[in-house]
Amino acid sequence: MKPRVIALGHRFAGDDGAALEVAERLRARGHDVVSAGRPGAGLLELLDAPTVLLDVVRRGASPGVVIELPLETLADASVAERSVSSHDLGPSAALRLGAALGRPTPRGTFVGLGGERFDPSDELSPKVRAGLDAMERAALAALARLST
Amino acid sequence: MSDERTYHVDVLTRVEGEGRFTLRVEDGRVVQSELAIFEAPRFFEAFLRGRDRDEVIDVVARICGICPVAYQMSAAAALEAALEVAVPDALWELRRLLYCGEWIESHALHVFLLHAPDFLGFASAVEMAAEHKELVERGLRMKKAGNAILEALGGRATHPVSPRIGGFSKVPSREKLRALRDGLEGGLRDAEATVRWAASLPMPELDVPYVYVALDAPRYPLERGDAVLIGRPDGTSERVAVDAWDDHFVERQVPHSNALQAVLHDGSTYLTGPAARLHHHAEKLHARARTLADEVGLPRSVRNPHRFLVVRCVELVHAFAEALDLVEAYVEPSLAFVPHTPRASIGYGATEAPRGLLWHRYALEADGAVADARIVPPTSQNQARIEADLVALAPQLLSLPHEDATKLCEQLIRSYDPCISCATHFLDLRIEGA
Repeated sequence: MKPRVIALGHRFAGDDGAALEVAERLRARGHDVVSAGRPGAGLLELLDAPTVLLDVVRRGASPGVVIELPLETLADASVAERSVSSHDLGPSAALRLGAALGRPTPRGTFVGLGGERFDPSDELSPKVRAGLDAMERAALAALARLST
Repeated sequence: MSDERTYHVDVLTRVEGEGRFTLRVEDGRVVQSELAIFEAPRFFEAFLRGRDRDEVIDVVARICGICPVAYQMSAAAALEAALEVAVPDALWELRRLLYCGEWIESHALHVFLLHAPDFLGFASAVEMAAEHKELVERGLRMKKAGNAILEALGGRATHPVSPRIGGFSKVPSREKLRALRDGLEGGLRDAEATVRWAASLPMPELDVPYVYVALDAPRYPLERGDAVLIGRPDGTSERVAVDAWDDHFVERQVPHSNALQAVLHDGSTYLTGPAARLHHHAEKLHARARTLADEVGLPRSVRNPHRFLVVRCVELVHAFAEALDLVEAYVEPSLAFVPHTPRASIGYGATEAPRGLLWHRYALEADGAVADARIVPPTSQNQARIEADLVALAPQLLSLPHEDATKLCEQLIRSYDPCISCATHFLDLRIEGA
């Protein structure tokens, strides 16, 4: 099954829009991309294929630094527990909800980019903008692994 | 010697956003009840100035991930009033269907993932799911059916992209909408079961004489209306034109919050949302919803905020039933949108977001650029009412153990389905009793 990229974030919440920007680059390369915003529990509906999940993290990575985790460990990871907003469920909580319901987490990788500023803005901070290329490379490598 | 108690809850979870509440009681008397929130629409108002009118609907959708359609529809109504765009009824029907989808996904989210844990004694939906798997799955099924409407009509479930001034950028085929029927029929059955389930839950007692404020409309209020109804506890009702909002409502700054609180000119707090809609429009509910409301004994004027849950479930039935009717009746319109010419003008619009009345005002320059924008979201209108409800709750709190009192406050706040994340950060609840 063809792997899917799911990008989380808010394009008007400063650095929180970084994953969405990388998602557009991957879409332009022909990958199956869902810009999901902040889907909350709706994330569970999207996890029906091998997945590269992109998001910006507030802790666990310095601004502009990329981190990777196997998707099956994300439910227990604190790194993606809190997004800019408590709106709905964060990705880790959504995966925990899925586990409680007996829904399997698909094969995949979480690619996070450390954020710095989450104030209302449609601009990325310089450090995070500088990290976009690394996030794109990490996502492409993860997609390649899932395709084999 | 005074009786002193202090309650603190640093983080109130399962609300749409973040904030803080403080309740201070001295010798059984409430001396302070403050809900402090930060209100992002203030930022969005500034963000919109100077932007082209065609960008507005896309930008305001980002205010809220749960109710983007509400922001889009209120903006469209206001901009079309300003630009004198007459949208054909067929396109209004599509907007109503889109809005039904949002009510479904928003109400299902709130009922099952945010509010149900309060009534069943769990800290979160994740914990609840382990023991009530079918209940959570039912909520997710309904939410998925609502999202399917948003995807079919809006292009995607989160922040739909097809709504525009004058209609839609593209309208769906009849076949595409008819493909929604199975999900909607299943959702309607789930919603009907949910009303019975919600009505069977033990509800804490509280009796509040509300001022009910809802949009006036020929049908159950949703996607359009040119007036607002104000229903007072003495049974009187007043009809106010949407463009005369400022003659009857005022937004006031309070020291403890960045958010403006909306009250009536006489200082009265008021209620907007499902219970206000039911008060003014109970007879307009879809027959399937009205039957259920009668079956479970839901009064027209709900005075116990904890029972808002049941009203929300009845509205779920209404939204599913009406969505099915709209899908069945759909004939693809001959045009997707009505074109317009920019002009210097001012327009007002209001619709019924899942959480209540959402009012917009835009002033446009001659070239169509936004000169000024005002957005009054439902949570800022309910903010003062939530504070007042917690004052009414205080006598019960003082007789409860600290932890139970705290939970009851949180449960009451959640009954309003507050969407503070249209703003930012936490709702950090502090209850101090002295």
